Amino acid sequence: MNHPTTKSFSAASRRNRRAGGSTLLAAGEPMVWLTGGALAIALAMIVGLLSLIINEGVQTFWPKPVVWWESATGQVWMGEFDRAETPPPTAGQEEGRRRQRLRVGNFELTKSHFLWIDDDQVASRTYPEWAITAERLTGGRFFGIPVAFYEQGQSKATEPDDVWGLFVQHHEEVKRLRRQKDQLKREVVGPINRQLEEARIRLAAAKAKDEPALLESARQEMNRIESSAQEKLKSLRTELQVLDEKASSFEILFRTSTEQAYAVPLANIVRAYPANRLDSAARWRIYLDRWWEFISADPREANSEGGVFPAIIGTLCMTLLMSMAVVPFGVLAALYLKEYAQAGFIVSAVRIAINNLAGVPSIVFGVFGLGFFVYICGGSIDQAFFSLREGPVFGQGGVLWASLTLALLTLPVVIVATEEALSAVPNSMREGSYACGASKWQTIQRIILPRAMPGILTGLILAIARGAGEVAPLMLVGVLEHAPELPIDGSFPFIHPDRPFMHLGFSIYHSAFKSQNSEAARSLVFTITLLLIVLITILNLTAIAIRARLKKKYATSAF
Amino acid sequence: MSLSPHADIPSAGSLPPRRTRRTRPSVFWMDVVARLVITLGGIGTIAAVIAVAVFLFAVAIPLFFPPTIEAKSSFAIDLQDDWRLLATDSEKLIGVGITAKGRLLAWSHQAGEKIIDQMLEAAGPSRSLSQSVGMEDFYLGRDDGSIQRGQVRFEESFPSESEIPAADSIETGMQRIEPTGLITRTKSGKLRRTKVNVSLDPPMATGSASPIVSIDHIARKPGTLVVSVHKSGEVLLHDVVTKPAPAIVTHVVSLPTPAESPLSLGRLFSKGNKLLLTTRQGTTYRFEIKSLSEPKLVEGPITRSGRDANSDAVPGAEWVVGRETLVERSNHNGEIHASFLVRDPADPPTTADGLEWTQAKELSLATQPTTSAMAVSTKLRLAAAARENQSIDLFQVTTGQKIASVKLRSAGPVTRLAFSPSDDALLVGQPDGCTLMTIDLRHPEATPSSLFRPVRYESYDRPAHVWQSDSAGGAEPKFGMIPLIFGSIKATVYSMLFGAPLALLAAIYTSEFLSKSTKARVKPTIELMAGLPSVVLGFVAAMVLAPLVSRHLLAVLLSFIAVPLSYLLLGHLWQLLPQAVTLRLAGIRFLLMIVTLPVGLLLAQTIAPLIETNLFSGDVKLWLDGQVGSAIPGWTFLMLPISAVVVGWLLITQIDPVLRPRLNQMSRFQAGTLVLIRFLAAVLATFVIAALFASLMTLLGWDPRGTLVDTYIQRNSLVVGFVMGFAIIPIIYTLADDALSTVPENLRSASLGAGATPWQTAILIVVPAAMSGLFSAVMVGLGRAVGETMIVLMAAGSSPITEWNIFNGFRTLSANIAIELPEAVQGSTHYRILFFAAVVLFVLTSVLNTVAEIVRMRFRKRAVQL
Repeated sequence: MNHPTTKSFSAASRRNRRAGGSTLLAAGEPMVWLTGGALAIALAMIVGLLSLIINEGVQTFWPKPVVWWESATGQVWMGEFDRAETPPPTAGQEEGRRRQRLRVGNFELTKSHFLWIDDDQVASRTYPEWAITAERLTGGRFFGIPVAFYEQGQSKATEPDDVWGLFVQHHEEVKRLRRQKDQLKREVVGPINRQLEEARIRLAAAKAKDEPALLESARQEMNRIESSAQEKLKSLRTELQVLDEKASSFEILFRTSTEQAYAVPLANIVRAYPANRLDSAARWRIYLDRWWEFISADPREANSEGGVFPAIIGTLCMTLLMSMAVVPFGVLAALYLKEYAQAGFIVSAVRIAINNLAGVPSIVFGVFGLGFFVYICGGSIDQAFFSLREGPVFGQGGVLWASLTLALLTLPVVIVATEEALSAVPNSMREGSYACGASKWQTIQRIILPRAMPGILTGLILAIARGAGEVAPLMLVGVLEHAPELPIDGSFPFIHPDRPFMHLGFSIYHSAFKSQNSEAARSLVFTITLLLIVLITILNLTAIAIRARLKKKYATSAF
Repeated sequence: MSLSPHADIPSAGSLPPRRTRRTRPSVFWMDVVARLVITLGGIGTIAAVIAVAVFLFAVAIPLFFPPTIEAKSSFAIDLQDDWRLLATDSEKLIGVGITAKGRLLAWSHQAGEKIIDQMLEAAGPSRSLSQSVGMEDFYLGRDDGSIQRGQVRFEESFPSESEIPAADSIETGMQRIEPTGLITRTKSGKLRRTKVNVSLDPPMATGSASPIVSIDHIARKPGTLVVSVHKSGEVLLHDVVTKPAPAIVTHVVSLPTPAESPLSLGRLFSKGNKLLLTTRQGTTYRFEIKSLSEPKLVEGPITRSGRDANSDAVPGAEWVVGRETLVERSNHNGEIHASFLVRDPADPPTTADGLEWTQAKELSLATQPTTSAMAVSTKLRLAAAARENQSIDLFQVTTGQKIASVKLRSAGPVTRLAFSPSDDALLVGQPDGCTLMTIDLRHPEATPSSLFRPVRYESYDRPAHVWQSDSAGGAEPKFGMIPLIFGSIKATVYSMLFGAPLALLAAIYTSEFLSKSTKARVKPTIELMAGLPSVVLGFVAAMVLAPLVSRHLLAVLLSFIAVPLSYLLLGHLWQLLPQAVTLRLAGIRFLLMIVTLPVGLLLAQTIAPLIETNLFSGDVKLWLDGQVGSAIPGWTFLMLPISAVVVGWLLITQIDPVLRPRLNQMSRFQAGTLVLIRFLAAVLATFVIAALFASLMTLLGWDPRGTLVDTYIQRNSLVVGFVMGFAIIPIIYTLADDALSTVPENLRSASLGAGATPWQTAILIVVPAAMSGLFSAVMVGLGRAVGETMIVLMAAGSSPITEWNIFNGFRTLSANIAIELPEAVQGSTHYRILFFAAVVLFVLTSVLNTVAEIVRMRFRKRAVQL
């Protein structure tokens, strides 16, 4: 409110209306551009971030050609091109030359997965026709040119063409054997462990009771089960050995870039393809196959390869359990505040308190979850029901405690959203209902809740969006980088709320920062990030779709 | 409902007889049940949510409960001798004592009954004792000049009921005395037998017949190293081997020049590599023991007054766990202090190893009653002192604070104090017996002053704020919370500096200048940012942004200037266009604004190398290190915001009133050109003024390096500020836009109708009207930034440093909780301090949010009135 400015402005405009110069300063165009710029920057950041993640995440699984680099000094490398960059100038040096990062694989021979070479070191780049990319169970990728195929130690072929033909012919069978082996292990070992655990608990219970007869019978039972378990394991071992022998009879011999010969057993190969001979259909097949593996398989090599199936299941389980806990309680609290409680100072204070809790950092809820749910609730449950077990059951972080913690974290969101939805139901509808003689509960049940449903779902959406992406509190209440078992599986009682679980968000943190091979995991982490964002978006969109349907349904019946 | 609309109309003649329909009872019941369930569930849920806060407080508050100490039981005996050694088992069942003359006593604490009373074989009068950690081994320094090794062992076993005669008569809490121990029944109902086993090896002659006034021992492969200080002033080092056969090799330690008073104290530390000798007057000598035969004097004489040279009593000095800090007491007043080695501040150092033995902490002043006995805990940094006025004081050595005090009931002088193995009791030896005092320590390391004030930790040359909770291997846990709070503030400040202006400006543009249809697409896009998990942002910050910023550091910094400048410049150029054109192009103005961003970035990228070579000696990071270049360019950079404000103010108050009448005479294009020239001149002036300021600062000898900017670390506050700013933009933006949109339309119409431009309307009418809403938006953003965890965890490194350097990392309260809480033992001090950190976060964000909420409510009221 600059006084002289306004005065001179009005005086001037009266003097000369036709000249356009007078309004220039007042229009503040440059300042408008500055504000617009702020918006543009914010938009550019979000769009940039999303496109970065999508771009990097989508590329991860595309089969790249295998390149053969030769330097002027005769050095040779073979592998995939990873990325190129101009290195940051190190202290005292001039700007570095452009360099590229190669994925050379063959970890046993090269002792590293990646390699930097300067651009001007490269004399030639070729694409050898028969270069094979092999993804292995252990040891990462292998790049080589096939020179022989062995069956039971005998060379069956030496020409790349024939070797590859034999590989394709036998690999399916070897993979089938491996699946069979895994299944056998799962089917036998799991029940044995369960039986042993049950017998051990009975024994401990007998010991606690201090009755010699009972103790003796329990001990005998234990011995019986132990010996039968030993027997079963022994027969399993022989069975596995037979399978192993069958599978390991096939080997493929590769020649590497350094002219070394290296035999890779087919049993260790997850997937192999002649990278430079693929047509686009084959590339797409490999690409989609890798995506499928990513979504459906367990992780390998300290989470730097393989899939994220357990993490997906863990995230979904946790989010579902959280929703199941948060919706009823949130709606109850909101109904009480809106429909039953006497409006007054206390209710508005409670409202402010709940609003406040929505802004409390998530880590604080994690601290509460650990101290209260895990240590106090879990500890008491263990003492009361599982005192005979060796380790903690509920007294450690688990999917139940994590869900409850996040439910608490998102409760304010649901309460606030539900309250708003309840307020949005016009009072005329309540009054109409009462006028027709309906009771309060009937009014709530048949008139108010259905109309508030879209709003309640909005609250749930917001809760899910916040809950699925939270990682900090989970780190305190039960997320693990590698959980041995899923929270849902085929063994009784099917849902195991006490088990620690894996989570996509935590996988991002862990693979990127705690993994030994975080460089190799980098592109995978981008894919996990993409998956997490997609998952959250899907959850959101589903809820939005439901809300839209409900809105439509009730829009017609509103009066 | 089955109620018919006609039910209440009285029946007329032609109508059928009145049907009375009654509401089904189930409807009433359901209503009552629903009311009950909803009320209980609702109140319960709300209570549960609020209980979060209560629980956090409940866990954190015991931190500040003071320790308590009280007499539990006493064992009475007319000793007529001094206690030399006192010990008890970990369950505090049996007390063991050895007197100066070699009488062994053992007793039950609970019953006060004697278990053993005998003279030890091979015993002789002694006047000094060295006890080791765990209290099994001890060495006596005897009056005949020999040293004697002994052991006190408590053997615990759990016999079955049948092994003990009449076991039924021992009930829980009862005990039965046996010849060398006792039997008790534990809480779980088992029998426990505790036996005491004291042995004393034959004395080993040292080559001196003078009584040993001070003795210390330390395990040093292959045997034990013992130092004995004799009344005659001799100091001997003994290499003692017990296996296979006891053997002793003695070396003489001599001072280069004789001390002014006899040596009275010898202490070994640092794994037996260092030796301290103190004379009766308090002069200290420090030796390095590389070879036993030739201990080398590295420091001393260190003179210190305060001891009575004539007194024959030996002042006590005990090592704190870890053997780096020595707690010493005076023998004729109440002074107790702690000393340790610190780096010698002098350059070149005055000692051979650059370290200095320093009396660092005063636990108790000389004005206090004289200390008659002292004990130091073997596990915690605790010291206990018995005073001549029959009070016992407990000290925490790290903080140097007295944490508890108690008066003794019996009158005799205290001749010996000892802590129980788990520091939950103190044995007080007096001539008339021994008292067991139980201590409930609670959390002695955590006091308001140790959490929030600088503390002089072991081997520090000055008090400092340090967070280092790791206490493995006897290291001193450092619980200074200031570095963490500082980290939280730093993260918040830098992210708000970036995020808040951006979000507010963007909100102003969205609500005032953007068309409805564009807004409908833009706003959800920005709100999409709010749904992005912070772990994703942290990952991108650390893996993509941090290397990028590191590579293009100057370009990134310059874009903070270049981008706004290019927007202002493009705005000026835009108004050069004829009005007809701008009106027609109004639809694509926002598109142009988006395109301007890469222009600005490109500009920064282009000029960065030029500036780097010419102003920062070719390398910004070296410049930041303080290795090259002058301070002027850095100051110029930092001064730019201030000088921009100055120039802007001059422009509005001084230049514009002069310019305005002239502008009115001109055509639009001419005026635009003049305004452009005015802008360019202002930019130039800004730089010149900043440079002038900078030269002034440099002339005064100030350098920004070392404070606001310093050595570059890749994971730093700049990156975190940027990404966390990113995370809070959607929150502030949404709330601010809502606040601006609630300003009633009639205000805008009135302003525009009165001839104000949209910009004037926005800045002079709408923004002031929405000010409190904008303020509360910023407060909510602030609350979010304070508690953000994952971004900091991933992108800031995790070093708890207290410096403002934007190019260095930090650790926030929240990140610290995430890192350390999973490892903290439930109920430990560390655990509770982390809960306390959570409480601090909770309170901080609650206050911010409440303020925001109250402001917002007032704003709403005002908006309605408008």
